Amino acid sequence: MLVIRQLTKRFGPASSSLPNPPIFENLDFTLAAGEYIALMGESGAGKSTLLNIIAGLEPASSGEISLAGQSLGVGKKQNDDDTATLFRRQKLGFVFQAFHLLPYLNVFENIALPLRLNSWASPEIKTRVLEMLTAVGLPEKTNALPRELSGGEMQRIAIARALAHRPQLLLADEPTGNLDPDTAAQIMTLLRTEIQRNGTTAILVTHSEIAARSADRAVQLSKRGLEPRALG
Amino acid sequence: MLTRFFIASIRANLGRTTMSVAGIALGVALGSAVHVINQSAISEMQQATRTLSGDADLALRGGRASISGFDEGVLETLRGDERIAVASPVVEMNLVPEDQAGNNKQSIKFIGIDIFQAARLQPGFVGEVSDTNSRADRFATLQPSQVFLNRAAQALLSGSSMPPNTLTVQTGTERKTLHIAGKIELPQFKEPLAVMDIAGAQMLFNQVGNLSRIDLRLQPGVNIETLRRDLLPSLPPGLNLITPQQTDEQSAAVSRAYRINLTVLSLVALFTGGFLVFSTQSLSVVRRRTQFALYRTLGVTRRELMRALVTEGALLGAIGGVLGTLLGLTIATFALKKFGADLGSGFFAGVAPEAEWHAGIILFFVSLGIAAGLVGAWLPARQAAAEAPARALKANDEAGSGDVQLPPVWVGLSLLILSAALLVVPAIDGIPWTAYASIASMLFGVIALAPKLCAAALLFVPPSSSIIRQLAARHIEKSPGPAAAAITGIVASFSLMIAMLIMVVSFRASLEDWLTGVLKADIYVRSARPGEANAINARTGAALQALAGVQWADILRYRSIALDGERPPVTLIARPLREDVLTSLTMLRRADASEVARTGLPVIWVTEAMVDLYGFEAGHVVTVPMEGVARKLVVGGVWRDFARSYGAITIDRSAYIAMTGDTRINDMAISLKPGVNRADVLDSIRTMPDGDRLESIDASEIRKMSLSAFDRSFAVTYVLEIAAIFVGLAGISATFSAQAWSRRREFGMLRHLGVTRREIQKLLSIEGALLGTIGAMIGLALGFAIALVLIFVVNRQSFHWSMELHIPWLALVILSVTLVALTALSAVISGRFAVSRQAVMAVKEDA
Repeated sequence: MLVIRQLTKRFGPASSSLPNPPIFENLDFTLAAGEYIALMGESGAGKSTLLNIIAGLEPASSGEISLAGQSLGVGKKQNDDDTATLFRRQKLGFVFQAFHLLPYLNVFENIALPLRLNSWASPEIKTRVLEMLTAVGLPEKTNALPRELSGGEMQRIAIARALAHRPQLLLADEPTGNLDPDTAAQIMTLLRTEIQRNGTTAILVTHSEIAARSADRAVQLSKRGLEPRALG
Repeated sequence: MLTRFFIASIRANLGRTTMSVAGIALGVALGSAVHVINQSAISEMQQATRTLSGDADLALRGGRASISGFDEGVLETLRGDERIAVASPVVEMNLVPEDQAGNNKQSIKFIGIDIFQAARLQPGFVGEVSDTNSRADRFATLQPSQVFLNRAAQALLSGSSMPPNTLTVQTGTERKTLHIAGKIELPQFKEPLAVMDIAGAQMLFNQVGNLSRIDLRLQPGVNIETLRRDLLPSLPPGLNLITPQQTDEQSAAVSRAYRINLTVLSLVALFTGGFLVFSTQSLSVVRRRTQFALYRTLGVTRRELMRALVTEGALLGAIGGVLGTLLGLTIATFALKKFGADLGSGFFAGVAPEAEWHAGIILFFVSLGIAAGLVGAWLPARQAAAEAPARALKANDEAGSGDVQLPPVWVGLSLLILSAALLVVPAIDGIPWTAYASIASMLFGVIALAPKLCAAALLFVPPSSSIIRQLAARHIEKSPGPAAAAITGIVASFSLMIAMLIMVVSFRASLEDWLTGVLKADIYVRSARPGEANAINARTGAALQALAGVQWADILRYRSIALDGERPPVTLIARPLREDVLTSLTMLRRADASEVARTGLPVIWVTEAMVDLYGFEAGHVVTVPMEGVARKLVVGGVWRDFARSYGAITIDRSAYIAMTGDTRINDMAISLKPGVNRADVLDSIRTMPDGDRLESIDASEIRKMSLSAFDRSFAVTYVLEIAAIFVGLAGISATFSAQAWSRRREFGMLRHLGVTRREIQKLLSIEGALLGTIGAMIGLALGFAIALVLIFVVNRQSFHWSMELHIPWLALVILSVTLVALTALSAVISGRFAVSRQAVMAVKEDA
């Protein structure tokens, strides 16, 4: 379960004499284990910033976040950064709009990367990577390099990489932004299937209502905070 | 558009652009300073020679301009030729006056002239009588003990404790006092000069009947070549008719190889400066990749883009070139004023000219700066122009970002083959241009092959279970372009450093071995005022041989002999040549003893320069002029000589005396009986009747002084090497910065996946260390190959001496480890951007 309490983010100190309105203020939000939500909102509403704070990549101005009962640090110190990094390594998975596969690793090695970072044993890595490759429908691409793949294929591999180490929380930021509508639809179906199969809690940041429909529910981030959003 | 490109580049990359300009400026400054210092010295020496020759069209010369040149009987032959208008005999000698103020004993050039003839060529020789006693004497100039001094000589003697208007000099072991009759005005001649009548000079130098040279002016319309062709056969062997221009060329030739080697070395810094431009421009191109793609999309052609970027590099080069040339001229002016023209070699010791340059020099060095900028910018510009705009604009194209276009393998291989082929081409005009071209070709060949060599080297990297190490190795393996770009700077500067180190160490070790051989005696004695005529007299020689504790005392006689009017004279050394003396010379090869004996000719032993310049190979029968007679001699063997790069001939003293009757003594080499204290013998020499006029020195002292002179002469090269390494390291740093920028999304993604900052830094340091190790390995191999060319080709062709290869293993290991550590450190420091928030956020740049 992901719990967000009184979360505020502003850039620069609150006491500054210059006007410094918060990006968002006193956010309260709970996401049940295994739940999959779509986070929507206008550009500049703070969706990506919220994702970064959840991931420990950016400090919040105030508030608390906990995942499965474990509180996440929001400070800036090196120790906090290391804690947040190790937390990401074990508990989080990411899917980016631009895929971000390492160009010098092949498909197998890209998917194996989080497993290796988490010190999985080689036989287990092999089994899990092949399982994920089959799941995303690209078992024959094991040795391919990213440059040999299409955009849709790269995103499938990115999804496989994001879920390979069975993270508790998946953060997907506009995963279909670079894809054509047909491929985007396929990717969203795959994402939904894999999230469910792995029992992962997931937050999908998107502007697309079509993409958002793959989620269990949608929320809107605005100046008023996080509010449920109805999808047409 | 060009202005916009340039300003944008400087703004985005101000620090590194400044460093590139500084790199080029440093290279140009070193090159121009060394060139101007050397050229000013040469010019000063030539000016001095021309001043003394006046309006002469030709000079008849024997060996070096010395009193033992040739018999004056030839003067009558010349005066009898109607085509010769003036024949002015000259004797020359450098002597150190006694009782100079200060400890730095400077010599005065003494010239003995026939004033009636000499004044027709150089009116400045007519002295102005200042002494009141001499003024009444209309022929003061003709008095044998009267001298006229120029301003520099007057200044030198101004603090003398001697009685007024007197000058005491030592010739051999005798003191002679001369009367200063007046002054001469020769403003072009800046060194101390004393002019006297030729008869007086011949007596003073104990050389009655000998001349150093005869300056000739021809009748109008006489062809120099025809006269030379007609006269030379009738003159004694060993004499040459030389034009002032040839004299200039000869004086420049003595130091030419040294000067060119030093200038080439100083340009190494410029070469690495070119790499710095390459690195900086690569970084700049990577950063502006999207911007260029946009320009291309908007209609800028490939050619326009390339031209703009190359011009940008040329502008950086021009700024560096102008600043460097100004700096170089400033350094040269300061150094000449403060230290004189000698950069450690001793060629120009005591020469203190004004810095001399002209527009051509400035233009040349500024052009070198521009060339370095152009060459450095060309590859990145080509890469930017070749890139497909659509690819660069595509946000998720990680692979293309920061990539470097690699030359095909055949380019590298062809350059290596060319390098090998150039090595068999002989030196051009005595300068190893082809060997330098071979080194450059080898360097560029290896750099072109760097990606392949890098990939091959990675095969030897042991597999690791650490994911960070795996990522580092895999990145280098799969990104040969950036890896090659990073190591080319390392390979270029490190290989040249290694090559110089091996060469200098080999040279020094060979010099030490050689000194051990040639300094076989315990003590060496010479006249306290050295010079060819400053002989130790026979009485003193015998007294030295009879000293208590002396086992043997060998007499050494040095002569200059001109074998070829186009080349500087060679040195003839006459000394007892027992088998143990021959063994102590570093004998490189000997002719078959029985064949040598069969010729029945006196045997000579020659240096390598004699083989290279005159073809005096072991076993050959050769002709050498001595005392006006062409003597047939047989070459017994070839020995190594680090003292005389224009050749030396050693002959047994008894054979020499039999041919010439010359029993004079220049030096004595004294070996002591076992157990005899050197200090006691040195004391005995000092207390001999002529002891205060002798200079005796312990062989170990000579050895120490020689090695210290060697170290001094290479001090400049060490400075140049260090400068090149720093420029090279700056290039490495620029390359890593470029890569950290181009890989920012990769690092951002890794941070998302849970890789800590420390692990990213570790990744960078491992990559840096791996690249440093590969660069060091390739640099070591290449440096070793270049060292072989320097040792066995460049040195041999430049100085005509060989040396043994000595490899400083420990220094190589220390340098390699230091380089790897510095590269790793540089990778981490330059890549600090990789752990910044910007890198983390870069994953969203395209969102």
